[in-house]
Amino acid sequence: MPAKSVKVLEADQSHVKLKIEGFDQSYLNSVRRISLAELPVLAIDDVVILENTSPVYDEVVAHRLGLIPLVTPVDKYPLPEECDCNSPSGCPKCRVMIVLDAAAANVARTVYSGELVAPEDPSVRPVSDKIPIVKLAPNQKIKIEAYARMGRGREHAKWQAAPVAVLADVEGKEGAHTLEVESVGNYTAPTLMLKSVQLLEKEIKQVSDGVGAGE
Amino acid sequence: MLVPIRCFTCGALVGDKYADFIRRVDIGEDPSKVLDDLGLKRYCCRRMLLGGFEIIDYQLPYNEAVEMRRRELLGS
Repeated sequence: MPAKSVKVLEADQSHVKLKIEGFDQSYLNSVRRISLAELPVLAIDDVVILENTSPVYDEVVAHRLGLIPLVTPVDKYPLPEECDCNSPSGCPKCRVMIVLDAAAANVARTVYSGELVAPEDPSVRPVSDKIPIVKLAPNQKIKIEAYARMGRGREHAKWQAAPVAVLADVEGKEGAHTLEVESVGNYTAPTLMLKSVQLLEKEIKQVSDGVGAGE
Repeated sequence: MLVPIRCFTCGALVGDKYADFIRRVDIGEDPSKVLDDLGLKRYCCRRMLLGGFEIIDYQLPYNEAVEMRRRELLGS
């Protein structure tokens, strides 16, 4: 096994590629799987349709809202099950209200994600302002109150922070791997990588604490 | 009805790129180059835009016609 080293091969906002030497493949694979399905991010989960006269059904609008990736402030919101409010519907500490109020006057138009507003926390916003939500014909309206909460990719794909995470061997070199992770945009790719490693650390610590308590 | 927001397979964001894609292909650009340009490198994401179609554009004129008729009746 070569000496432990981590080298950044490529890094930008949306993807990171690392060359890692001296670590066990199983350990790196845990990091990879955590970035894919365990790392919590914000996504719209509860939708109250106040008015919808668009041709798109309420449930379709709600589904589309859920899939919109939201910029997630790091370490600000806990998972609802880890929040001290113990409420299934959440509290202001573990959820974010997002409102949409759009209408078409005399011409048909598209309602984009840029029109979503989080009045309580402006740091929560869609990753892109150009995602179409619905199209409205003249005089049609849509008015929605939605609540975003933290969740994990294993529960629903809308909470998936990384579309791809690939662990590969470096050819001809024993104990060397490349780990490439892409981000949807909830976190920047370097943050996503870092948070995944920290989450693995935290979970391992829970195991060691459990073992310690049993002694 | 509208273009999907995320890729069905990998979950990457594709919905915000559809309008650009259609506009550029309509003026005669090569679809594969436009997809490269938009940063869609996997074929799962590329097919989302290639196969995308907005049926809602066929629905809206009916809603529009109903609204025009309503205004006509109210106006008279």
